[in-house]
Amino acid sequence: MSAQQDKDVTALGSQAGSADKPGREATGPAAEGPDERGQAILRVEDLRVRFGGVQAVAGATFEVRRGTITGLIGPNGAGKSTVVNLIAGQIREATGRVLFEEEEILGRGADEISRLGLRRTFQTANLFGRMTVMENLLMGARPWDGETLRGSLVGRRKWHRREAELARKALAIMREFGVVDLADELAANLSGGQKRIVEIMRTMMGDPIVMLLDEPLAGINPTLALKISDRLRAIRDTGVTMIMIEHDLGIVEQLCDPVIVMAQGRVLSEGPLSDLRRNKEVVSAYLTG
Amino acid sequence: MSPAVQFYASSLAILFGINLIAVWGLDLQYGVSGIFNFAYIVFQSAGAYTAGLFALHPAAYYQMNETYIGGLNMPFPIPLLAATAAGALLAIPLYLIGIRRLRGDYQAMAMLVLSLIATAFADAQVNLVNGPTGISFVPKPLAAQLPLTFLGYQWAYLGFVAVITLIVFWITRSIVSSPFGRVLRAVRDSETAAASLGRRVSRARLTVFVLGGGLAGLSGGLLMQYVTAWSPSSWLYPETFLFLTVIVVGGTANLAGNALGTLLVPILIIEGTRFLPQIGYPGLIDSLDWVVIGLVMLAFLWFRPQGLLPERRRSWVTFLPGGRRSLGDLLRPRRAVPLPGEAGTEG
Repeated sequence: MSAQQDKDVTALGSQAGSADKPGREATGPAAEGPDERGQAILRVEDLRVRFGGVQAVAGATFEVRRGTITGLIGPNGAGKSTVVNLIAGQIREATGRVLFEEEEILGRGADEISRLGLRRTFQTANLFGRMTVMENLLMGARPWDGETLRGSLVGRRKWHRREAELARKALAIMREFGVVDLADELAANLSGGQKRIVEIMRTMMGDPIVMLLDEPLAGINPTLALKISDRLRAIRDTGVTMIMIEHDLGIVEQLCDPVIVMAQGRVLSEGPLSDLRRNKEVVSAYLTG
Repeated sequence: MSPAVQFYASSLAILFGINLIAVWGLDLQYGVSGIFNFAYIVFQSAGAYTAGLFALHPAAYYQMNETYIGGLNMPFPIPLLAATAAGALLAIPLYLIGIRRLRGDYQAMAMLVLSLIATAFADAQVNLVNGPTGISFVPKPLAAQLPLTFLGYQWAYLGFVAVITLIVFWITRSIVSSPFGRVLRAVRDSETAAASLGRRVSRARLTVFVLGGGLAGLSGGLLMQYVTAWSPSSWLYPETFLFLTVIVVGGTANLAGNALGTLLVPILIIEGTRFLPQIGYPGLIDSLDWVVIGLVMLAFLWFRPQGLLPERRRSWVTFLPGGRRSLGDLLRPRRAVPLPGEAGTEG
């Protein structure tokens, strides 16, 4: 490693988040003032979707406050992942409303919604298998000029500089998660837990306003899960809002407030998990299985 | 070297360059972007016919009872530019039919069917490009203007093809190694994830489909102006599988692998059969070409699916200033890159 490269890596600690300037289609979490914390950033109203004969989501209504980690729990088939897919634009055919910062996003494409600042992870980690971890993270950055055909043929110096900035930022994020040694590994070769970490890191690369996390800690060993939980809390403290589907109620209790309980495509109840544990309807629908 | 050997060697070199341009175009679509374009030969053919129709005089001029459209008798390099444009423009409707909404095996089948339809149409519609007989006696570029012997022109054409090949190499390498190339590979690996990260998947796929079509058209134009004749039998659907075999053998998403595959499959294997002793009925060895190519494809799919030169893994070091990203990367052996953790910098 050259002295310059060594310097690049060792001087990274505090650089995460500094390189990737938010695109024009989103203001980014850094733009939010403290007064905005707690206001609704995402509103879901009477959301309904049917797959064949199955009513997967049957009038779900809830809102997510800015700067919170909102848990989304419920038994299998409750419609949690479908709701996330609808918010993220992976499913577009539905009725109802999804308002992000008072702007209707239901029916828009996943790419468009992502450019607004809503980034997601998947129930089964969805990485670019034949690309390295570093390249996966570089793909997490907001779309930029170098990623066009024209950009690839002219202006190489410009995009080399930009790419170097993004690579430094990616290294800084990897360093925070303690996985720098995976930088050159192909994503397909990673373990299930490592894939989930890479997916979370990749989401962070784009300076999201809202992160939609679909079971981000499933399959991760308890020690690492604790570490990731700490990182998620730290990210939330920077103003990022999260919606997190999770089955491990211990993790939900530690991380999420409020918690939304779904069953049969509807929102059953909402509040701190400690309160929900006393709600008989919730207990019978989910907590006791 | 005797003139005959010189002619043979230069012919092989010209065909190598022309095939390589086509293979790079297909690998941009298939290896880099994951598009199953089983109609690739149609794009090359569109370029070939277009170059011919732009270079030829009108059919009546030759008084040979040929019937074809065009016959514009345009000077060099207009036929080649038109061939490139034809391949690129053809990509748009074929993208809408076979690529935009279909994926995987459905996409492959749709493109294969389009290839069959295109050949049958050109064969049956005699007024378009002279039906099954095809077009012939296409003028060679600048042949009348350059004071060269037959062999001298052969070497000059090789030089011209070499220059075009280098330009195409620069373009494809710029794309593959750029952030745009990374987006294409991301779309190949997971379209859903790429979209969820804000990338316009359809636009990226259409761009590379048009680009690959343009390169196929260019290679078709160069081929037409070299062999001076083209008919439906020149572009039957198995020709696409020849290109795919080149990519599978050499290695997907690897330009050097593509070049190695082009050297091995259409040059060494097909030309090699010419030197085998004749057995069986006349022409048996020639007709075994496809059997050999098919067996080679199967062998690689079974035993070395990544090809002889697999897709290169790009170290994180190369993204930083001082990291190597020169053309020499292709020639020098890769050095083992020390990772931050190994250097004791990981905290």
